[in-house]
Amino acid sequence: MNAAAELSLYSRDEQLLELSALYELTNRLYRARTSEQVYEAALDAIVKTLGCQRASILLFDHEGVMRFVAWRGLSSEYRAAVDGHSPWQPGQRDPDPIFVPDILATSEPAWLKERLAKEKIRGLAFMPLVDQGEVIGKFMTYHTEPHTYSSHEIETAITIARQLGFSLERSRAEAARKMAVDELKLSEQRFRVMSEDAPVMIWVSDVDGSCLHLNRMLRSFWGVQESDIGAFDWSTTMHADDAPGITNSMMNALRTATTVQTQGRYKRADGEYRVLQTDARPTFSAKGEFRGMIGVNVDITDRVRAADALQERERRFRKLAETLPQLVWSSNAQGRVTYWNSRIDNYSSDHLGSDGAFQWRGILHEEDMQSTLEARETAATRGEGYQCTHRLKMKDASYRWHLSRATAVHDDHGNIEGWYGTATDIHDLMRAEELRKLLIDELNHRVKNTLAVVQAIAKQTLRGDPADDARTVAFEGRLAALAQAHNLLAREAWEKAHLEDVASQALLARGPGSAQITLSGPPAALKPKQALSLSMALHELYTNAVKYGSLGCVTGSADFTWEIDSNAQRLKMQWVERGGPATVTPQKAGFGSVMIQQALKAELDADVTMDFQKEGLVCIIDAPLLNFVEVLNS
Amino acid sequence: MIDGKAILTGKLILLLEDEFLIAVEAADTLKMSGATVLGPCYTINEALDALNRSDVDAAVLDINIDGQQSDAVAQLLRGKKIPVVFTTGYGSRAKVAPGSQVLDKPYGASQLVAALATAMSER
Repeated sequence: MNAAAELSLYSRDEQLLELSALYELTNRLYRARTSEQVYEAALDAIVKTLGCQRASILLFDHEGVMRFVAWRGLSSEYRAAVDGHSPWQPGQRDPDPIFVPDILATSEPAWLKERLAKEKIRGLAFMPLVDQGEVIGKFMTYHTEPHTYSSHEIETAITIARQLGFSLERSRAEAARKMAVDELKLSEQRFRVMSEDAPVMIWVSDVDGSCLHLNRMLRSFWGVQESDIGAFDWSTTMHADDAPGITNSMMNALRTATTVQTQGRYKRADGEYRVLQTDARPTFSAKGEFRGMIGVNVDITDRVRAADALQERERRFRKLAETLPQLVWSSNAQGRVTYWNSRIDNYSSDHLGSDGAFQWRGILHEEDMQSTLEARETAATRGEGYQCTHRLKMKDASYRWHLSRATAVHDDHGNIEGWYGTATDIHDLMRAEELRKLLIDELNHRVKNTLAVVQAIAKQTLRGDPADDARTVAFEGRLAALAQAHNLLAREAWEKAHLEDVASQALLARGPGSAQITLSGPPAALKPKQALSLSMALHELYTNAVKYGSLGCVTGSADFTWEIDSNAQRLKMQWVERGGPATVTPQKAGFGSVMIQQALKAELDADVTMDFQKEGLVCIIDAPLLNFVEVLNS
Repeated sequence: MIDGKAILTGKLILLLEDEFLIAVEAADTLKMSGATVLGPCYTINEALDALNRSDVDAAVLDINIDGQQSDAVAQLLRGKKIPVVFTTGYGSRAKVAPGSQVLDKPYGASQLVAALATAMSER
């Protein structure tokens, strides 16, 4: 049966009824505001045009389960029993409708057939509903008797299914749009809540720069109530000196809808001006329209003041450094000099490298380079300061001696942050020191020349008397001992002489018997007069030992030892002769004993004992340490 | 030990010393050792003149002559390879060519003779 023939089976009234039902469906769907209105309109159209009393609409829920959303003439038991049943998977593309003329003629399970029989359903149809080609649900028709759908009925059912599908599609899109709008409102609300208690000042302005929103911190800064924000003019709080700059930047950002950063003073509610740094960016609507600015203000007053204070300290340091007569410099941890005072004008321009950076290499004397680098290296490793002397090249290309000192500056973790240093011109000082040494040499020379003259006078005076020969030799020896002590003192600039040097000069390499003497003792320094007295005394002990004691024969020996008793604070010296002829205590005190006993008592405050034992002389010289220049503990 | 007398006998020794009494004493010592003394010279010029006139066997030079170094005389002598003994009041700080014989003032007669003998034997 073709369509035209089939159509003729319908009466004109029936056709009219059907058309008006479809028209009504279109009209109601167009006007529908809720899903329920859509479902009702569809169900009305279905029962009116498809000759069934019962129908239902089912949609996949968000879990993909087919659920009843609207129905006509179905028991709740039936709906519960077949709930979730679907011939299609959610999202399946372009499914075909399914028509079941008689359920009893199918191979469906018995329980289903029973359930349908109980609901008095024999014929039924599944019409898929699609949204953009994907199945989202179905509508069902139910017939009490077996029912075969004519092609006309099928076309009508498909038309209704499409209408219903479009309508659902539209209402879903609308729901999505509404959700998006709600989401936006929610997110704006969230932003306000979040910004309200943020620890920075946050504001939102309109396209003219008027405030729309100020968070709590900013409201309290300006002393503005939330209800007064609309009337508040923030521009009146700007410091007059900063206002033009800030206004200019802000107006420019509003005009061009671009980000802006400003900094300036604003009057706080308590009247104090605070420095605020503002970062603002434009906001746009979904369509891209410029809506205003959103900004963050940070109070950087303390930071600015700290930076100012640092600058002030730096300025003072430089001022101080400029008044110093030394070359003052500072460098980073790597030794790169970043500051030097104007004393540099006295030095060669070679202190500047070709790149304009300061370079010591340019003015440091080549011969002093190594020692300077070593001093610096050692100091850097130990994290300490250093000092060294070196020659620096002056403006006139001459080199002058300098004493350079540097101190390491440490950060909180103890790492070297940089160096502060000075270079002091000690050239004249060193020249003076050299001159002083020269003068001492000259003095020594004159003293000894005088001693030589005295010696000559003595010899000339005593000449011709053979009995005087021995006395001449003794005199010469004493004079020589005195002269040698002078040499020792001249070497130390007449400040001190070392005990070991005094002893070895007075006792060793003197001639006969010298090789039989041993010396030992810790380092100790003597004052000039002590050195002279001790030299003379030791000379007497030596000559006596050669003449009368253990050094007169090859088997004899003499030991001169000294030790420091740090508890008693005394220096004990001992001269011990051994292996010589039996000694006798001299009857009268000669020059020798005067030098040994009295001179040492006078100059060293020493207790001196001379013990003429059988094995040889033992002389003990016990002096307080207090009288010595220094005692170096070995 | 070198026999000073055997070496010095008959030798002509230049003596440069600006201090009169020291010079007289040194001259006596040299004469007693059998040497002939050229001088004593009291100035550097005197010593240079004396050297131009006579060939000496050795010399005793005070390093500092009235505030001046006796280098000129020492150089002349070194040029002629004539042995020299320097005398000085500067002690170990005296500035002389290394290896030179140096006598520290005041020195004894035997020290002078021994130093001269050593210098002449090293020739």
